[in-house]
Amino acid sequence: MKTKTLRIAVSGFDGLDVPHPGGPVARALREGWLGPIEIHALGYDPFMTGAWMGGVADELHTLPELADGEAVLLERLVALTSRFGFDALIPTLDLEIPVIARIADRLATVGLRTLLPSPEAIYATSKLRLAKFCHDHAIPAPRTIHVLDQADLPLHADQFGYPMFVKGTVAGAKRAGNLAQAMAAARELNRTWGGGVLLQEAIEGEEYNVAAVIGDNQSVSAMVSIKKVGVNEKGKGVMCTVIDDPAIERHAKSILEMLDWRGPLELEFVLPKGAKSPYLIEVNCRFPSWILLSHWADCNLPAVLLEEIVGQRSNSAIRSHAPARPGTSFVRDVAETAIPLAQLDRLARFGSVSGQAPAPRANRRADPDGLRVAVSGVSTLDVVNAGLGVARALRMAPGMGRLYGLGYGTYDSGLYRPELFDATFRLPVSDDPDALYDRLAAIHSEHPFDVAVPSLDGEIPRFIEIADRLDKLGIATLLPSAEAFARRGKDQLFTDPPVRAPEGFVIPDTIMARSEKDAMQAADKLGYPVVLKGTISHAFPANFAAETRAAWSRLREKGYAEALVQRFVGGERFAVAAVCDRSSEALTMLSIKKLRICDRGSTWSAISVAQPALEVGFADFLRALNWVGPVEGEFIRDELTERFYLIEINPRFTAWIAFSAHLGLNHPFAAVRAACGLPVEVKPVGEDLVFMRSCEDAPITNSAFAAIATKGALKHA
Amino acid sequence: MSERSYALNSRVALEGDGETEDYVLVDTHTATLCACNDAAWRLLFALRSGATVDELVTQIEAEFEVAPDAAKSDVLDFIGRLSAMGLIDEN
Repeated sequence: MKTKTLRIAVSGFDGLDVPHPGGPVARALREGWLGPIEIHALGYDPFMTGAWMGGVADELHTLPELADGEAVLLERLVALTSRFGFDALIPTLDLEIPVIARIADRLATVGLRTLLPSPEAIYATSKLRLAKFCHDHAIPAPRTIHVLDQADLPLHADQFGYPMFVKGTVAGAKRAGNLAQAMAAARELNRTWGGGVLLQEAIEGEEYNVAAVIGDNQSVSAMVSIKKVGVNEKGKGVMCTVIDDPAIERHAKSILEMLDWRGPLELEFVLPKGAKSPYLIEVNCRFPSWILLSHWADCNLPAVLLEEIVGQRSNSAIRSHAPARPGTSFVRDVAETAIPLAQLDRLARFGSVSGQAPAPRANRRADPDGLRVAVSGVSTLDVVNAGLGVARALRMAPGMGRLYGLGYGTYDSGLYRPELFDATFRLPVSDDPDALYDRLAAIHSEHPFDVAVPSLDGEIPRFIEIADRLDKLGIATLLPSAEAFARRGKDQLFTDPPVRAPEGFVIPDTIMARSEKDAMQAADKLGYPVVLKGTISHAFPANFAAETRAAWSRLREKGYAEALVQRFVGGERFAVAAVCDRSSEALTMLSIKKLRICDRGSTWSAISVAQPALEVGFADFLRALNWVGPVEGEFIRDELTERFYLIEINPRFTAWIAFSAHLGLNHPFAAVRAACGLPVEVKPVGEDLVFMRSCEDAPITNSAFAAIATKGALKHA
Repeated sequence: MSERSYALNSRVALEGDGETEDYVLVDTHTATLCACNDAAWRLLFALRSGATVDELVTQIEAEFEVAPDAAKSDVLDFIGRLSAMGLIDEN
């Protein structure tokens, strides 16, 4: 019997480093639904990076802004359904779900089916109402209060005590260690989401989440419980494992019985040490972004939901309804691609475009005569490390030998990516260069490699110190001198630059502050807004004195004893990536304009742009620095004066460097050849491609995790 | 004590890669992982279907060059640890 192709519209493909659930939902449906299926990705602007990854969406469509009203949204969804024949809609964004729930009946009349709770049910457990819901039903929950007026915040915050969480009314949460941080977080979250903020006591404990699908008859169709095993700075689970704790499941089911629910949802819990019942932190009216884990655990919740929506249970359209397999784990990593600019433009202008085909499976066979390279910086825990992009670029290069990944922590996602590395190893977490040398020598004795490419700012001084000894082992590097490395550090770069008036760009006014008082005086001298930067990483903007105090406090928390106070420059962000040879001449150079950046400043979408004057000026600057090796200059083009301001020089490859390989000028390949004294072929840069990055969860085995944790090594077959 | 039989309970999942010799015990209630050496792995396999201390000691003596007293001490220590984690039932 020929089965009809189901056309499923899914929303939520953005979110950058806090990914929306649409991409994982689409991938789960692709993997778990046995019948023919088409995925139509819906988004509110063309930069839905998750939908642009190869093989995720068959078609992409833009929707009107929610602020335009539900009638406009309804009109668009009806038009798309009429044109493309959508069978079902799975919205995954908190803000849109109540709106779509209100128009669900009207969508059903044109054949677009959903399974969603009522707007009233969503409201009852929304962030603003959850504390009352928990109180009314005697569910353990952290103390929470809604503060509408910023002026009332100090009184309430001091009553809560610190640390505490400041939460937006729709999304977003920031941990605050004192009043200044709480005030700054509240201002930022209120600016983004409006409606004031929620203050919530910080409950320390292990975090558990439960995702479920509730059928039309309000019974639980399927449920998956997980524990957040690895949590990043933002509190997001970057490594999670399916569990089958009956106490958690009983507690979750008892809460589900109190809800007037249908459709998907997620319950978030924290179990304080010694407590019997977990505290309910959030009820989300959608699937979580970790939902692909349910597929790997053989309990594919998006497929269960689709089955509920289209009523194909009797057709056994999904693989099984077995309970989720405990012990199944994933690690959060990233995927990257380059798409034709014309495709992006078409989506922006016409509202619909075809998706990207799945990427061809990379040829993993290493050339026995090819260069063997070890790359460090392979984590996505808090920021996307550059080593992942380096490895991706080298995988695209011709005639490469074996590739090895070097990580420092067990949660370094790249350690578990067999498509990138032949084997991975853990390096010692130590400031001692000898410890690094000993480990690299031990790895090299068993798995010889020709070139080491360190890709983390903090480790590069240690690599510089042992570079000569590595060279004697037969391991080449392409690194600057210790002096050049120090001169590009923010503390020297802005206060004593090698070229005071460089061609093509400007060095912003900067004052070094060693106390809060210093920082306040510096901000007064420069005029607001300013940005306070740590000498290695982290930057916090400040629009007035209270935010300067909060920014200083944040930097102190990160371990900085001093901060650079810099005039804030508003405008589009650019970067120039280069590789300098041992004579400090730029072998390769690539300028990009950043199209999407996350709040840590990392680039998630970019386009190559010709900036010859900027590149010439930056090449002169690097020559004056006596720079050797990969490097990235980050710039902001002032929106008033159009002048480029130098923001930072990163002493390594940038994390988006795989884009250079897509454009035909593979910077990492050029660097490893230059390191070995081999000629480097410089090709013209291809144009009209747009770089896109998206979070991507990858399954891992517990034995792989244990191998990295205990042996510090993992061989990929 | 040595006549009592012990068995892993339903909280335990065992995951192993014979090629790389990476073996892990997973507590499925808490997602706690314990990496295991070869001896621990063999004991866990024996405990899947239940075993007495004497049976485990005999197995360890036969497969590893260990003195009987040392084998018994190691087995009792191992069972004690599993018991403390709530992963073993005693019959």
